Amino acid sequence: MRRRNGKDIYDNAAQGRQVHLFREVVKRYFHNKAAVLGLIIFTVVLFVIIFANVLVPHSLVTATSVRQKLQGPSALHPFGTDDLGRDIFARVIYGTRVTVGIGVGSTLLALIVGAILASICALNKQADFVIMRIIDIGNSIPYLLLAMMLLAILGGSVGNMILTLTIISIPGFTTRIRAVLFGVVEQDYVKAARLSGTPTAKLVLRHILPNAIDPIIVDATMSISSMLLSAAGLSFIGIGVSPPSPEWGAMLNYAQKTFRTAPHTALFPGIAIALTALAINLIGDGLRDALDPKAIK
Amino acid sequence: MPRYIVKRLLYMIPLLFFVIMAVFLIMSLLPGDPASNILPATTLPEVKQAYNESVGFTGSLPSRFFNYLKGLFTGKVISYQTQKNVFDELAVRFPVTLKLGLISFSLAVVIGVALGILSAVRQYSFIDFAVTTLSVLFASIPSFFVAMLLLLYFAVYRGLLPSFGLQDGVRSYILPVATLTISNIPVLSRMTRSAMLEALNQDYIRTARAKGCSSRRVIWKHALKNASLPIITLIVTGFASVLGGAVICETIFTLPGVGTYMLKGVLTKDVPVVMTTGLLLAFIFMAAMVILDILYALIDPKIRARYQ
Repeated sequence: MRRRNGKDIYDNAAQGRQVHLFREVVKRYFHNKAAVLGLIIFTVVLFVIIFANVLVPHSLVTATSVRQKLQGPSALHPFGTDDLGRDIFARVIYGTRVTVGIGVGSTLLALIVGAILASICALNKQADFVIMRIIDIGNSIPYLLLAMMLLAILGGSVGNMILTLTIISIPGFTTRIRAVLFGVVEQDYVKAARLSGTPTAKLVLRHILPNAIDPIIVDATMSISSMLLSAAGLSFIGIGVSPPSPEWGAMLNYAQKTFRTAPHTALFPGIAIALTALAINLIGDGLRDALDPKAIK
Repeated sequence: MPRYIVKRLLYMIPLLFFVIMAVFLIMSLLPGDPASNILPATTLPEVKQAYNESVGFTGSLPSRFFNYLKGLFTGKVISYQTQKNVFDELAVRFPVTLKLGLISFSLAVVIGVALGILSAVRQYSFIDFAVTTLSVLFASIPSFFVAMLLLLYFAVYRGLLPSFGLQDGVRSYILPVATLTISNIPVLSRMTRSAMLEALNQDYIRTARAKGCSSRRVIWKHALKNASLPIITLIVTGFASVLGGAVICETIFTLPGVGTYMLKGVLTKDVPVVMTTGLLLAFIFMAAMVILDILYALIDPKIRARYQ
């Protein structure tokens, strides 16, 4: 009955097309075996993050036992123990929350700040000039050095690590999102919306960002894995998350003194980092191929 | 074209100034003064003051900044810890990092670009499958884990190669170079592959093939030339960040390079060491960007036309 209104029909048709596109993307994503594998591994990682306390009691993360130090994998300690007798399985399980949390948290923060800055750049020429000159400065300092300097000042903790990784990746995010937005802003429908007096916030949130979202999603996904690897690297050289925390990079840093005689102390946290980063990279690749407009019929 | 190069070089001067200022401001956020950070807490205030003066930590923030700038240009920056000139230490350490970066990155470029071209030309073949699978796998393994695995096998189990330091000359460089090479190949091969595929799918490639160009000529002349911009971008920026990223590799193999020097500076709150090392690497990074922009203009007539 509502179909009598012409506008409704138009809306439904538009919605129908959107649903169709979405289904097409999902279908193509699941055709990609590597992408599905990535999704499966990442689902396991998410499961571990949510149900860590069901899998092993949290007390095992820091519980030391001199009598059980440096034991190989066994039924009691599936990944063995380190030189303080701590259970490596429990530490890797709880480390998932720390390491993946840092990767996802810093990506989301950098994404939000980058998107806001890029939107300002796309809408205002003067602001664009100022912001881009500041970003030029940020881009001139190698990111690992900037991270080392910031962590030297802030001190190593999970919060400071997220803050540091966010700060060092804002220039990159802003530059890349800005490039995408500049293409969208030139489109006729954005010009029309601007001329008809659409409020700036609505213009950005309704007209500009949704039409630029695909490459941004792919970029953000890939960035989670590079953030995760950077976080682990910084903890590994001893300036990131400090040792008692079960962060994977910090665990490897700690394992440096034992891995020559007891390789399992380094092997399991290392494999955990690699598998998680691999899953995220595969998902990113899959999303990029599935969202590629050139391939959509 | 020469005007463009001059303009680009001139832009580097204010940029460098602001980078120095930004680094200085960031490091001045570090709480406390050198004496209280380095000397034991029980030190007398007079001794502390004398120490601060001896390392040049006096006066207001702007005057300290100009003192530091002066030190940079006269080549005399004093470390808070050792009270020695930072430049003398860098002169010894920089060649180690440069050698490490240069050798490993050249190897990675040759292998990575070759694999990328090969897998793009033979898309969907077994080689392509192997290259893309291994690339994504190795892109996910952190370099320090690669280093630990190499150490474990070649130094600990086989005892073939030294596991730390530089006492064994060339042999000491093998594992660090291998680590950096292995961790840089994936990103290069992935980028080369996608740039080559993009170029190979263009109409002008079909035209070239249709008019009877040999496939060697199509690949090397028509496709690679058009795919070269993103590849060159990655090579230039990648080399600059290899020098900065060598810190992880230097740490695990305890090499006396620039990275370990800066890390020691960070851990001991030795601000002049951190700043000067950081600036040296930032300067190399910026120089790389300028070279890149000039290369762009040389390679791409479209970009060149914009500056004429």
